[in-house]
Amino acid sequence: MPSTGPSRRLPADGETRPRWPLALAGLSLAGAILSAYLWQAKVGAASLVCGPVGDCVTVNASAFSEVLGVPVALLGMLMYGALTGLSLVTWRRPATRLSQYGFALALAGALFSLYLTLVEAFVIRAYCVWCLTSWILITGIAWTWGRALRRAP
Amino acid sequence: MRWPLTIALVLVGLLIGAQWWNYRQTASVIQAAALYYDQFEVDGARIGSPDAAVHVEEYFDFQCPHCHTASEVVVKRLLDEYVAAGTVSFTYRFFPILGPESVLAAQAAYCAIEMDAFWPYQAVLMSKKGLGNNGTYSRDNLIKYAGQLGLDTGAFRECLDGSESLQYVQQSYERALRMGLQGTPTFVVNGQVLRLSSWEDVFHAVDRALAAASR
Repeated sequence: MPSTGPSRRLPADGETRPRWPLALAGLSLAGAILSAYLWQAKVGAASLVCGPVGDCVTVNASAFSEVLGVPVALLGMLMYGALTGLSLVTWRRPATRLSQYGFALALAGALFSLYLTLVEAFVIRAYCVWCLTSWILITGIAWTWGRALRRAP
Repeated sequence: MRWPLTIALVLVGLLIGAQWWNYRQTASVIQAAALYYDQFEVDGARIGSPDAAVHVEEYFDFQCPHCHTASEVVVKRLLDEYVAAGTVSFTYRFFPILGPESVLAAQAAYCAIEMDAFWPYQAVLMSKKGLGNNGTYSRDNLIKYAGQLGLDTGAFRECLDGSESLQYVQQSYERALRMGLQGTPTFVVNGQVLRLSSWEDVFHAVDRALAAASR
């Protein structure tokens, strides 16, 4: 018997699914690819191309690029991967409670990313263009997700 | 909307707390290592008085598990009991035979020599016990370890990427080959290559060399 609770609600016939989760899934996927690249560079499997801005090698090699030995880039990849999945679930089932977990995760990512950016500025004194890109990406994802949840009925 | 915010704040608090705790721990371990080596006379990869009666060398590879053991069981004891007494001096010689990260780690150690920080730096590398080219001694990590020691990471990176460090390691490697060495760790006491059946053999050889020198 199909569930009729709000967490299982499917859009009725003719009702269009919201598009924002699809956009967030795309952004999260981009974030996952970016983090995977930084992770591979961290473990020495890829060379890190920094471009003209900042010093991503110094940042990616600093003590703040890990949490208890786990590369932050790997944590980022897992977070973005989870956000991609949660976005798609939210797209398929807009009223699911999982959407709120997705927002909580994105918000945590945005806050931790903000902290890391402050560490870059005031402790390491070097900037990583890829990390700043990720910060903007996850902040955009969290902001969009939170706004959509506030507007939800 | 309130509970997602609570979850996010708790998660971020845990991550930041764990990172700072680890940062402090690492800093205190490194500081202790630096203080320990401060008591010795150091010249590059050599430690101890240049006038010591006996000179011990170890040809080693940062990725060799027996070298990790030797650093704890043999080198530490040599430093505490012989080098500190001024009777023995000890030198690490690079013999990177276990792949690209062995070479890179040796190059990084050369850069630490150039920056007068070889001993604490090698202690950090040895403590990581990297094996099998799995990223422990990746370029980024080697620079990170230098940064944790307070070395100038920009200059360190330049050295690591430069040809001089590779040349130095290459020369050390070729010297080991010329001596007919085939594995690591290999100990040499006053020019005599030791064939070990136990770690104690190193100390027996050192004691014999000391006895011969005092005659």
